[in-house]
Amino acid sequence: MKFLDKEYHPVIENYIADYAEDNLELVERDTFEEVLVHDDDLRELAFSAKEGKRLLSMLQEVKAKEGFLERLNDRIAQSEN
Amino acid sequence: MDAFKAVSVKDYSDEDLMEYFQNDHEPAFTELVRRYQDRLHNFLYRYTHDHQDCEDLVQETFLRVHKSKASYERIAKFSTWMYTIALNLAKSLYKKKQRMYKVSIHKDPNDSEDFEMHIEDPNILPDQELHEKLSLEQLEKALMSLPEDFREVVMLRDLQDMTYEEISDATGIPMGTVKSRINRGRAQVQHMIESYVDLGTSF
Repeated sequence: MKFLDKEYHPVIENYIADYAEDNLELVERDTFEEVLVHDDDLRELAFSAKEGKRLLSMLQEVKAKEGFLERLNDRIAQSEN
Repeated sequence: MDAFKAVSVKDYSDEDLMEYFQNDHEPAFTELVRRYQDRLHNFLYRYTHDHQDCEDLVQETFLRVHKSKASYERIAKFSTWMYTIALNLAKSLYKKKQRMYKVSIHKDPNDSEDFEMHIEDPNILPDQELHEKLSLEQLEKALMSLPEDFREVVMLRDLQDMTYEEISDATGIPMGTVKSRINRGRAQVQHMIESYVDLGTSF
């Protein structure tokens, strides 16, 4: 994965992040994708980042178990004794 | 500051609640716990991968918020201050503890050396539900396999929905570096599971 080792100008990194998060206006996106056509490593990074973000959105949310606040208050009370 | 009104607690900002808490209004702290308990669990579980350890870590975070209330200054967002505490706790307690899915292989029962290898099952199972469950487990593993400095910023952005500025403030990392690490962290996650998951059919 040599494309991960390449460093890009902060402006490009901003575009990659915005592209991954669908935060680009239509014209900006089309222009950026034109750039990606001509740079294999940048394209690999941008496409992978976009897909990686989509996959991460599927991680199951872990929540506090019932009674958490009561257990916390017990712990706070113990710490003050 | 106006007198604290418990009935209006849900209308107060986090920063207002901290200020009331600093003035000994305990219900303000309770509201902050209610607002952030699930988010902190979701975040810190990726460090512990154990529900009891996770709850302990979340409790310790809130305990420190409770004890250190005098040190909070309104100039910083409460969430940034709290996540800084949570991150430092997670790092100090779990810095050397990495949970890997390991299989112990004994080539010779009399051999005292214990070879442990990380083995990934390359078979795609025929049962769709089981396959999807394993795919999510692979996704968790991929996230945990990221270098720590990549993983923490990816989690803060993609699991906690923090802004880049908030992440930069909480971690002390320049924003440009935050974005660069998030970009590469996401890309690494995708590549780590690419070989196992048929993305076209499983997700």
